[in-house]
Amino acid sequence: MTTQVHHTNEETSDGTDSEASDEPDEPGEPTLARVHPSTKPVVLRFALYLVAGLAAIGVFFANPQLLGSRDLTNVGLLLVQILTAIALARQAVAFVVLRSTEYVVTPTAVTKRYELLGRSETRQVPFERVRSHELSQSRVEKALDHGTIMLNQGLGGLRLRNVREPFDVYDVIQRQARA
Amino acid sequence: MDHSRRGSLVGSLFDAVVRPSEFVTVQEESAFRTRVALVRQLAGLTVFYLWNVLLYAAPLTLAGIGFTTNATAPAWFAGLTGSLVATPDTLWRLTVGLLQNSAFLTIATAVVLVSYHGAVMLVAGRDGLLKSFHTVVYATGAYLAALFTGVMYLSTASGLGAAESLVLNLQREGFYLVIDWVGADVSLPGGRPDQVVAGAVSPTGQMVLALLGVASLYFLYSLYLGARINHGMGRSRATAVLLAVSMSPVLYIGGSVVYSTVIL
Repeated sequence: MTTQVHHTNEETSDGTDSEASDEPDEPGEPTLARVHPSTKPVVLRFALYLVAGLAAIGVFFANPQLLGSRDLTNVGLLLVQILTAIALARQAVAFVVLRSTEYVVTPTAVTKRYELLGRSETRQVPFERVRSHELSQSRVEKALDHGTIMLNQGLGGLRLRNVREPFDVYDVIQRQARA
Repeated sequence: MDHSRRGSLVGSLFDAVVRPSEFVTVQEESAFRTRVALVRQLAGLTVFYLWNVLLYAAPLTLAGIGFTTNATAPAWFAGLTGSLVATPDTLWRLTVGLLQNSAFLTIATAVVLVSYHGAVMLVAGRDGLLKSFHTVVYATGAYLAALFTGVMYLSTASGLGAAESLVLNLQREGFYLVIDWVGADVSLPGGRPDQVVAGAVSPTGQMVLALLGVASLYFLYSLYLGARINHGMGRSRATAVLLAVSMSPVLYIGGSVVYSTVIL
């Protein structure tokens, strides 16, 4: 279940190029909000996958004939081990990316920047090209007072994940989008 | 939306394993706005797909699979390439081998595209053939190609006979499941397998089978992600698309049974 605050601004949708651009924000612009996303949900998911993976591996070890034969059970065990390793690796990468990510709101645009393996990337949506924005909270995010802000839902949008005190940031974005 | 690092092979591989959502996502909506952009997108996807097919088929061909050693080049081919290469026959064998090894993956891609886009139209009633093509090209170019490579490895490497027969027996069981369900009086050459696991599967065979399972799950998951992200569907609709695609082998088997009992 997710909680959502949604707004669509049809007037600003001019049918031209409205997806996020890769240009940095204007130098000298005042910063209205600068947020580093929380890594808590990722850490929680990592722990959850670890526990679930270990539990599944334990079940396979305890029942060598679980899938009808020892060989097939071994295949199942290997499958679970590989999937658990991939799931944990994905969360580890997400953790590293989020640690080096920042969301910046200026009077003219919302920018997301992050670095991964020495490579920095920037995505930006100017407010003049924002056609819709939305704040949603999953169960975990709600419990942690985090949220996800989505600008221009669908292809070419910008997703700000795991924003701390999301209603404050969303309020700033709403005001600028209306201005 | 984050950038996908599709510019490099390592980056694509990283995305395919760690960030499959980035891997299958259409990055720019502007690619679908004008006719010129659509054509450019289609050409780019086709080149990307052919590159992936080549990456899949070239190692198989160079390993001697589908490489007919005694075939000679036809006169037109020899005349065309005679000034470029010293032995047109070798180039001809290589070309034929590449085409043979690419054929299964290309046919499978076409079948998946038809069933996937058909399911998208059925479930969501929306267009977006190029978005389906994008999803299927990335899903088959990476995960289905990996699946085929694994199966090919099982059938050619020595000491993996039990694992290979397990895969074949699973396919046979799938056929017989539909045959029994329909109640048709047909049988496969070789008959019904007595048991799925015929003999001890070696540790290498077990690992290959597990990797085949992982590739299958990634393939289905990437189609699900394509429906969710590229077609903007909710969870239930994307799951319905996935179920419809998963049913396509059943339709294929059912069609084969009907063909062999009614038409033949």
